[in-house]
Amino acid sequence: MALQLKSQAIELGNTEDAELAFEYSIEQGWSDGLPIIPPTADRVARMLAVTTRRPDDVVATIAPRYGEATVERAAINAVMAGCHPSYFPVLLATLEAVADPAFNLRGIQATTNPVGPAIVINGPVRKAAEVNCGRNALGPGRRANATIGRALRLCLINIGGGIGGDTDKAILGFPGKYTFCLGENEENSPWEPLHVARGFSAEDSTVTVSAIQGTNSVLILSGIMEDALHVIADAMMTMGNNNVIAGSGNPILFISPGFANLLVEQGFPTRRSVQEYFFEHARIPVEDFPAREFVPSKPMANRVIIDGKVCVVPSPEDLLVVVAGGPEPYHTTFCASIGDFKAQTRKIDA
Amino acid sequence: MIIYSPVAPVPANKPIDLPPEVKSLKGVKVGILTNRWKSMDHIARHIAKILPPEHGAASVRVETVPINGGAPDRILDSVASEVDVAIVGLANCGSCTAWSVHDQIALIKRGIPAYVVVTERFVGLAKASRRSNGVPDAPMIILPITEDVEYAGEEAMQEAAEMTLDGLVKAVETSAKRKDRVDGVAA
Repeated sequence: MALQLKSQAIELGNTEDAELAFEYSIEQGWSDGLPIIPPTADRVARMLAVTTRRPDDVVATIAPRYGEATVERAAINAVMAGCHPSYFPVLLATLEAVADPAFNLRGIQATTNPVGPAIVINGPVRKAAEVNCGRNALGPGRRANATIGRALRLCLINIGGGIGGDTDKAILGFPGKYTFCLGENEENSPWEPLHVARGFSAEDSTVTVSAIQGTNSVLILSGIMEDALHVIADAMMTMGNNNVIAGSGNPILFISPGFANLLVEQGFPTRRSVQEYFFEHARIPVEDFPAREFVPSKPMANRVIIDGKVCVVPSPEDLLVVVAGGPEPYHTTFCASIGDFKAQTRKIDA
Repeated sequence: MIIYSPVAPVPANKPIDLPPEVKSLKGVKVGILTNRWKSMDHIARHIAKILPPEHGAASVRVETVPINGGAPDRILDSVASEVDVAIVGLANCGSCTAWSVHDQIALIKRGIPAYVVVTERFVGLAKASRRSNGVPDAPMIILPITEDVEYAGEEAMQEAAEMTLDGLVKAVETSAKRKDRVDGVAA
């Protein structure tokens, strides 16, 4: 017996014209602006077939509308985004992660800040879903990276009601709001994977979400890690970054496997040792701030100040360090975050 | 071709009744939640200074709350146990609008009539937020756009403070008239 979907059905006429479905999705405000795969019953059924969860199970409620992300509704959005069915469990875990109240989706969806969820995938699912963890992992070309992040965005729009210009008040936004998804390059990392550092087993597959503002590449040429970390700390020490202003949040540092290996060789044996370095060295002297930008009555004033310096992160573990990308140690990427939220990790159901 | 809607509707929450409005500011205890926009701090100071001597308010309690996160329950409970009416703000950005409306509704749910102060461009978001929180009629006091409130100096902030106070006074007067009419009909 054919699966009976509970979502509203729309008859587009006696046609299989994908362009017509795309035009309809634009008219209805369902799309992020890019073409969509028409969510027909067959396609949605194929998505639903990879999970044991019932179609009407509520995975999460998504702010600011607090619409219910049922499994079926998530599947429709996943089809539209172009997801392969094997990605669907990743999307379900991601929805659970962003809906955790500690992630502060209420603020993230509505904010004027150019912020969006960054998704880092760990564990065996990276292989099964062919997630790019290596060269150009944040660039174009890989279906999983492109469409898992996009599916989340479509859910944020269609289920959460985060409508650009209406309830999503971002002044400019940033391209990562279309998709920002990659896997950790665990196989070429000298350290334990991110999800293991966050309390999961190496055999688990997980998603970790943070809320980041953009990417800032730092070019390192010397190969001397003491100098390299100094230069990276400089890139983190931006007075206007939201995590600096708010004194909270979880910025991400993406480092290449080659860079991570050099760190180990030159006295930074663990992820924690790198986090501690930046906690101690990425600090901005209070006197460097223009006084009128540092008055206590400014809206976000919970900055952590140690020895007259503002800490970029309030504690070492608040900086997420992720090994990803191609092998060369040249380019490291820092992503500042919004404040007032906590990154979340969720296990992906097999 | 038949396709399926990806959209979740606004939850059909049971509407929450607004608490009884105050009919006069005389003898009333007022609470203000400020999320530290400097104009909101200015508004709070102005109202605290003017309300008791000029409008007979019994007291004004000012509490600082997070700008991008809900006011802690202990503050909401404490304020709700002490005041008769509250002002919350400033809804002057995306996240702070969402959270100001959240705090306003948290007070309304505790039985306190509460007004959220919103700058003009964020009125639409405030309305969407109160709808999704089940209180579509939660009252707001609307100020001009942010450039004319937060970024325009002391004079503009003073003007915004006077507008906010005026908005509260008018809301109370309107409420009193509504009561008069009801009483008149009843009589």
